[in-house]
Amino acid sequence: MSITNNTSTKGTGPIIIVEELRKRYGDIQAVDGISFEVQRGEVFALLGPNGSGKTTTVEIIEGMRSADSGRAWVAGIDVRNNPKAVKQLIGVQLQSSAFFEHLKLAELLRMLGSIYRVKVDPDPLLEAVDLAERKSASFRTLSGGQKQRFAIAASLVNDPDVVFLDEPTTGLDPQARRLIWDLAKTWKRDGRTVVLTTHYMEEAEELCDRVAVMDSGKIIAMASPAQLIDQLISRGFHREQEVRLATLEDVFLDLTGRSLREF
Amino acid sequence: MLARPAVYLTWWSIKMWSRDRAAMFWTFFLPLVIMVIFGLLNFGELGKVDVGIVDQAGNDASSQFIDGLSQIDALRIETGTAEGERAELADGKRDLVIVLPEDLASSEGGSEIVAWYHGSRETEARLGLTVVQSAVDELNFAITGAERVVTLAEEAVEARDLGYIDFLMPGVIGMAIMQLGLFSVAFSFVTMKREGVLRRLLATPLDPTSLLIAQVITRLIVVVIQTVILAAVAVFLFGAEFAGNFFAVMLAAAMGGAVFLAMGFAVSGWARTEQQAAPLANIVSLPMMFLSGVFFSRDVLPAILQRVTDFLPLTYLVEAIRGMTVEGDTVLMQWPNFLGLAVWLVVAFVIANRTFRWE
Repeated sequence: MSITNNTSTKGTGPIIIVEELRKRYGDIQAVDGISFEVQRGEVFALLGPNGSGKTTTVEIIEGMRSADSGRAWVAGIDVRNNPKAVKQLIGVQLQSSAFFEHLKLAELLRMLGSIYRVKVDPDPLLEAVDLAERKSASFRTLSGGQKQRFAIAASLVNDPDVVFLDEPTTGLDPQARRLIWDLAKTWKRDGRTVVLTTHYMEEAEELCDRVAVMDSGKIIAMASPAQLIDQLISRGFHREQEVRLATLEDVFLDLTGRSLREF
Repeated sequence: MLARPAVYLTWWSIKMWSRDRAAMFWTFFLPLVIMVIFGLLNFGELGKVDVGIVDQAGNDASSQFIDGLSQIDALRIETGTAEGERAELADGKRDLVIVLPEDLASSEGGSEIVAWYHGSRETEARLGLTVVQSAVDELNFAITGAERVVTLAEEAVEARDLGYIDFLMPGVIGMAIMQLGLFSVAFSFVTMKREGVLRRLLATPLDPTSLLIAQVITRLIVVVIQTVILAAVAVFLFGAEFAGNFFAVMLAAAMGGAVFLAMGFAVSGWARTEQQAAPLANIVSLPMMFLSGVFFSRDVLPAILQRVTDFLPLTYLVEAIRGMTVEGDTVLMQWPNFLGLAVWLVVAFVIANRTFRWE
């Protein structure tokens, strides 16, 4: 049913292969010849300033946009030829998600499940993002952080092999950010592959096996966070600031605790 | 493995619809209120001539005379004192006031019936006078005992008693279908588009047509329920005529629903916000509400406007339903109106297909 590359649904090896992707919007070359691979079970991040092409790249891989040229495979399936089959295997959290009005959170998860033709038990999904008590609320009545957490729960209804998170922690308080980091680590333990975009370096360092740094639609560096730091130091870099044993965020979390504030 | 997502989505979208209070109000409550108000106003009665009678005789002949006039459908009879009726006439509440003298049909010398009428309402007064004149002739015959050589036999040609409600019911049903089709889809899709709901669904393996099918089926179910409610109220509360086949009327309603839903999709494809969708939907719907024979017959329109409004989608819908409920027509007999609706469906579908966007 699908064109197989050297990726597969089972075993090890790359689960995502991207080859020479290009996408242009008017005068702007948003994605300019990008190639990379993501290994099965890896947490991989695209880093870069706003407008560097991260979101366009992941949306092409997710089958939500078509590339002008180049190809992408997920689990051996060519996204351009069979976007539906790819979408069936992946979970997606968009930068800003919205859901139907007039349905409760638990119902929204079951409704999304019916699109993937799977039966969903909403309770554990909502519990994982600390929204169990809001299961009868409507999406609109949630706070910004709760919406973000619900969007992540919604990306898991189909028990996906690959989870795409597009700036999952932007605008969240440190407690909620840490909850999402913990979730991503759980997924990795479950054997899921996680692809995320972020412009928080701390987040990438905390979570990722490998990162790709993007600028102006191109990948300008790709390695593990530790390797990238070593490379920088080996070029003779010295941090001007003295090394501190704690950051202001550590102080904040020490003072306010780690538990979530909104349920 | 579950059944087709379209089936589930339809179920969920019915659930969503039933929780949407604004939609409930516009779909069920408002058309019902419009029908009840217009049904109670009963414009059919407006054509009658208001006649006030001042009975100064108070004898057998005068009461027979009044009884006789009361039998006539075209007149609405009130009795009162001379001063009272004169005041009513001055207020415009009577078109004509007749004074029956004390010596009515008693003296040998003959008596005189006086009729007052309002100068500004001469047409109604003339009509009333003609009728009263024939009643006076009748009275003369009775008194003189002369044999009638020529008589006029009256026969009603229309066997059924059709009233304004019979005209109104199909009109309001058609109007309600138009509003539902145009506004519900235009608004809900623009909202979903603006908030990013459609984009989120684009990230799932959902076939876009499944969502459209679910939305359309939900609305068509609502169209049928709405039509049943409006018809039930008109028939059982106001005694409206429902001569045709129930399912034929539902078919016409669903067909009209499809036409206006396609128009709603065209509007929602063009509009980026609800603020853009509302005026456009109104520009489409308001003229039709008044030009398609919803509340009054298109016969009162200038000839050129009648020709133009012949081709409006709401005209086809209302006339198809009216032909069925009033005349008992079958779908086959109403084929020109169904053809008109089918043409509009194709036109609206093509426009919707060109303008509709997911993001």
